[in-house]
Amino acid sequence: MSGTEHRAGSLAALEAGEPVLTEIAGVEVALFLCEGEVVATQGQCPHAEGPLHEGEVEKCVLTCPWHGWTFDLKTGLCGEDDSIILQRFPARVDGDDVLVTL
Amino acid sequence: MSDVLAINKPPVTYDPLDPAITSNPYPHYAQLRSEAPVHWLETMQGYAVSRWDDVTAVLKDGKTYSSSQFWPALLGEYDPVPEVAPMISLDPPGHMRIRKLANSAFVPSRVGALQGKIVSVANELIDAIFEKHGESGEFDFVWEFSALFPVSVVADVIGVDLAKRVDFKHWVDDLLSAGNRAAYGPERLAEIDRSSKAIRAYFEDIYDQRLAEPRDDLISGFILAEVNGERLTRSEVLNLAILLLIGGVETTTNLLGITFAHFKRNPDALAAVREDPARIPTVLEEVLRFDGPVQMLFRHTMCDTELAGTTIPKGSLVLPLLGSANHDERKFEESERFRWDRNPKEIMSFGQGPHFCLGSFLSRMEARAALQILLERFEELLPISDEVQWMDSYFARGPKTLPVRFKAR
Repeated sequence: MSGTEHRAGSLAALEAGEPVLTEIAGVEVALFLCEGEVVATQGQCPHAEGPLHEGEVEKCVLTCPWHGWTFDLKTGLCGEDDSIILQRFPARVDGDDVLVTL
Repeated sequence: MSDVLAINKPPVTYDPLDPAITSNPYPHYAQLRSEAPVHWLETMQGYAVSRWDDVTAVLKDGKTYSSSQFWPALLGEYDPVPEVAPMISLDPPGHMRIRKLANSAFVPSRVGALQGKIVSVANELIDAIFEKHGESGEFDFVWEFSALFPVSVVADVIGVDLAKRVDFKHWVDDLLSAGNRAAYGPERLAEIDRSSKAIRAYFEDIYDQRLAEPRDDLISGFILAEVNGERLTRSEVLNLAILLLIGGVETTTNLLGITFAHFKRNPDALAAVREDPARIPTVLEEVLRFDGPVQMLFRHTMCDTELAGTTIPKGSLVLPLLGSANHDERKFEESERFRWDRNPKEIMSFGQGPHFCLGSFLSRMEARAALQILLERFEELLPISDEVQWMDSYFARGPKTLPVRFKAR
């Protein structure tokens, strides 16, 4: 299924360490930097709806600020529960624009 | 006009310190939701919040509604480890760092590995009941099954001694009843004080033992763990261990007792699970919604704020009523009816937000397994009376004692 590309945020803001959460077509999307690449994920933690954009990222592992559950931003895999996957969306950068396909 | 309305309104009846009210708080919650969704409770010196959406808003906004005073508000001078705040009383980010330490033992993969233990503990307790009481007769479901079952499952995980499991139940019941301290006389307060000191002394001993010889249990893990490059202090370890014992034991014990109390009142629910045990999870979700083991939480406002049209000043105690949110007619059809096949999509029973119950997976798994085994091994198992003697607590809800009549299969 091919989606539509939307502007989700500014690369400069992301590089400055600002938490980025946006809503695209009713879906909350959070943006992160992982080894220089932009990663777009669902905005709420799949464990218990924590605000992922406020989480810490270390070596491409995102830690949810509510309960400390961890997610590999490259794969979406959860460190605490194999049955939970963090939803990721295709993302690319055009100038300062982060474009996400939903 | 508004004065006339105010005069005609009956006064709010909910008072958490009145045992006659907490034995069945639901009609009082209904009045709150309808007439005073954010209501100042004089006896508690705090604001009761009773509607689903408002309870959700409070629990998800930890910045406005801090957890920092939770334990002091509940336990007061009977807090066994008053010198540090336990996990339940921490705000982000400190909360998350401590919680991560405890998470490892409660994630689904680790909890799933306890399934065998859960089955054997339930069977052993039932064997002991048959040995003591024969093939039919009466026994106390709380004191001979439900209070012993969860603690026996998690004793090894936490690192506590099974021989003390009856003591744990007494200590924890007393601690939780400290919430009602304003209504107690000196004798009851002295009992609570003794239990508070006993639970601390017990965990001090365990701490020393695990410090000398670490084992594969949570207490050893807490002693050895580093958070931001620093070890937890002795008091922090004691606090976390006591919190997990209370959280891991009392709630599931009460859920099982409440379930059987409702089987007595709702024979169709019992018939449904007897006919098809695959319905057990569905029935348990409705029990959790309709009459959950935790009735309220404690928050404190960090700034002046407004909720449902009521101004709440900075520094106020706020009491989100989980039991009331679960009965909110705005959220659930026929909310005041127990419908075993309701299968609610969302319930408030494990809280919401950063402090969402750490043990929800474990608790559900324990309760489901226990119920299945009880139904398999008992042809008949039902409370003798329709009347339930509830614990002395507005915070925790569960039968203090539950005499049942039984027949082995």
